[in-house]
Amino acid sequence: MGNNSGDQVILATGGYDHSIKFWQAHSGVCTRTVTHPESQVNALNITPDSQLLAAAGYQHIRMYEINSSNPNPIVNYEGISRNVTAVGFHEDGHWMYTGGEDCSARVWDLRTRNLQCSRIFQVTAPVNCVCLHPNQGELLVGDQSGVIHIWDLRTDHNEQLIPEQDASIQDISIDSSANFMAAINNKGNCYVWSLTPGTKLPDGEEGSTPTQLRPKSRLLAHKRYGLKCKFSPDAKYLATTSADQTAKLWKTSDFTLHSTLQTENQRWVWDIAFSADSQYAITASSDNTARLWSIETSEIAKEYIGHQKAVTSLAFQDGTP
Amino acid sequence: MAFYDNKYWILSHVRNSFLYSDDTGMCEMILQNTDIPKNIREEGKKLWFGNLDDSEEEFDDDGRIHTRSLGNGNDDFGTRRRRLNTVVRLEKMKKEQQAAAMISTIRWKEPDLTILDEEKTKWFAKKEVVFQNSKSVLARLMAEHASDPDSPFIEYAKFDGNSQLRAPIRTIRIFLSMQTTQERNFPMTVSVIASAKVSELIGLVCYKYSQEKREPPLSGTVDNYALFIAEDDGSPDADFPCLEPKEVVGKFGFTSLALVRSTQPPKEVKKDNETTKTTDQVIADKPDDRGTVLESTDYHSFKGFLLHKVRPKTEITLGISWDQVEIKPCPTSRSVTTLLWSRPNLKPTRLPIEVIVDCVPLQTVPASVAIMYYDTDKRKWRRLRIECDIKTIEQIVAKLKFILEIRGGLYRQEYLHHMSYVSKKASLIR
Repeated sequence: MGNNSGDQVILATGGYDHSIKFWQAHSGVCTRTVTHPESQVNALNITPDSQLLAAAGYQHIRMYEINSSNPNPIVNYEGISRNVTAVGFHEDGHWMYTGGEDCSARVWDLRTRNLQCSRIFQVTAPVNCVCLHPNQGELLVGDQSGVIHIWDLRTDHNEQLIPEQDASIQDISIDSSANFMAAINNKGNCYVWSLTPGTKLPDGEEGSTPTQLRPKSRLLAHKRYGLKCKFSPDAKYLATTSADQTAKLWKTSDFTLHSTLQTENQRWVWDIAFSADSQYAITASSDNTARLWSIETSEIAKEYIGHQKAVTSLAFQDGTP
Repeated sequence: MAFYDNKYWILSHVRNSFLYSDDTGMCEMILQNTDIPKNIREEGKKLWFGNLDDSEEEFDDDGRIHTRSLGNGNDDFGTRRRRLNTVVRLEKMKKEQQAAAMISTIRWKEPDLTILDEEKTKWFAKKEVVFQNSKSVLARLMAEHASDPDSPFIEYAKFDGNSQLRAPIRTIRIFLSMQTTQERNFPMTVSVIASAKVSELIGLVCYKYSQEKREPPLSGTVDNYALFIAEDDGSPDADFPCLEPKEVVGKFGFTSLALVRSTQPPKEVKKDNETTKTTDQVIADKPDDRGTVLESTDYHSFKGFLLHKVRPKTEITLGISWDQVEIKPCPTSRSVTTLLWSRPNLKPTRLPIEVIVDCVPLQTVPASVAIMYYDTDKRKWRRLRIECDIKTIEQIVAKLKFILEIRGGLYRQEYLHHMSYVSKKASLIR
């Protein structure tokens, strides 16, 4: 901290112990703990200006200052009846999106307090995950009934996709170039589609047609519950994490297994993030520990120890976003 | 919720305050026989809890302010009275309110369906996806810090009370006996979560020690270290055994402790074993450390047998520190054999360093060492003979001589003078 924000590495973890910890990523030292009262932390994300950390919990989304010693949140978004399971931001920070067990995905206007441009998208099952397409105009919403909804925010047009019957969608990821989309389900299966950007209509006024998806690959990634999937920034790897106590890295060139990140004490792997150069991955696990892995060697480079209970989510920003 | 507008609450608050703040017990005797008038009580309860079951006599949980059995919590050490729960609670509520005032709350508002298309296009338009290859700051930092050794004690970092919220913590000053006297004047202040074990506190201290890059670096595991109650000057109080590593830190109320390195991992007290080891056997790590460790003014203790003129020897611990030499019979040797062998009248003795005049190894079999001192009561020179192995003798002599050279007083001068006179005389005779 104290560096200019472009050089800042931010690592925050949260979980069942009702606290969020900030870490010095390269040394493993916990620099700060903030309170997250009355709720576990379901998801974490950092605002595009690197100033705030958003934590999604039961009925709330709380915002914490990153460069401060304030142990309390500064903004509390509420009015949701159940768990908030996903949180993220438009790349320019205009709005925030969330998804929750109240069967809806929401867009919160961050510019004004009265939520001028708020939006809501209702589905029939609790929402497990929401992913923003890099084009900043489509939200991919995965629910417990196994449906992936592609919601075009501009037109409100939406499409459904059911990769597997009776399997809850746990997480969705799109790589930064928007070539692939991956979704992992509670059976541990991961589906990959290749994406074709929607074409612009001639008059330009009406925006564009939705992104087209073509099934690309089906990975029998894990034998147990799948939890997260994420593409590396260079799109060379797809990471999947699971209740089988491992995280796996798949090569996107042919979707074969590259390596398995596992260690004796590790339990459920709830979350994963990559360094900007795709050389390191950080995992969050039920054994109260987050770990930094070297992707080249699949070995642990650092451990972040300090949580009293399972670590279920992490937010990581490696320098300039 | 019920507060100051509730008669019952106020009355019972006042009563309990009396009961609780009165040491003589007089208030309790008087108040015991009088009760709050029934009508006030029932009305108050209704106000507080609404229509709650009348049979409930004492309030539970939140009604903690009402229970009379407010005795000291088991985490309360010493005689200091805890503050009234009510005061603590009110303060906590106030703090929470203040904190809440700092948080701005934004409630979800059902979206305006008449949102203009222009607005939609403005805020939700799709962008061109551009791939940006960014450099990793983490990778740079990892490379820069690649040579930093990982502390072997990092697993204990989680017991740091500073990075915990809400969990009860203990803040303890730790004197680090392995550091030089100068540095030892600056003890380390450690916050530890109260539920940690003593061994985990040791690990945390070792972790912070390595984080702060203190010298000399620590090695080994937490089993190589022990925590003692610290005296005012920070030296370990050898009259007490070290804190049992398996005990929970919250049990103790000490604000100052001293970390010392022990040679053996702590062992369970063995029965029927004459040579039971205790963790307060604090001697130099390795022979080559002698220069630094023994030539210090830290407290060190050594095992040996005190030899007597008539009776057999007694197993003792010889403690040498900056101010004094102490001899105490081994505290843990309680087996029958040792009881028979030890002199029942041997009490722990302390000799101030000023009366110690010399320390010499004796050429006896088995090896022993003599510590010469001036008995100020009987006004004569005396000596103590301690039997131990040769290595320990070397260490005792080195350590004591080092301290004597700095601190030797009048008695030592007189003694040395006397000895040089004697030897001169002897050479003259020869």
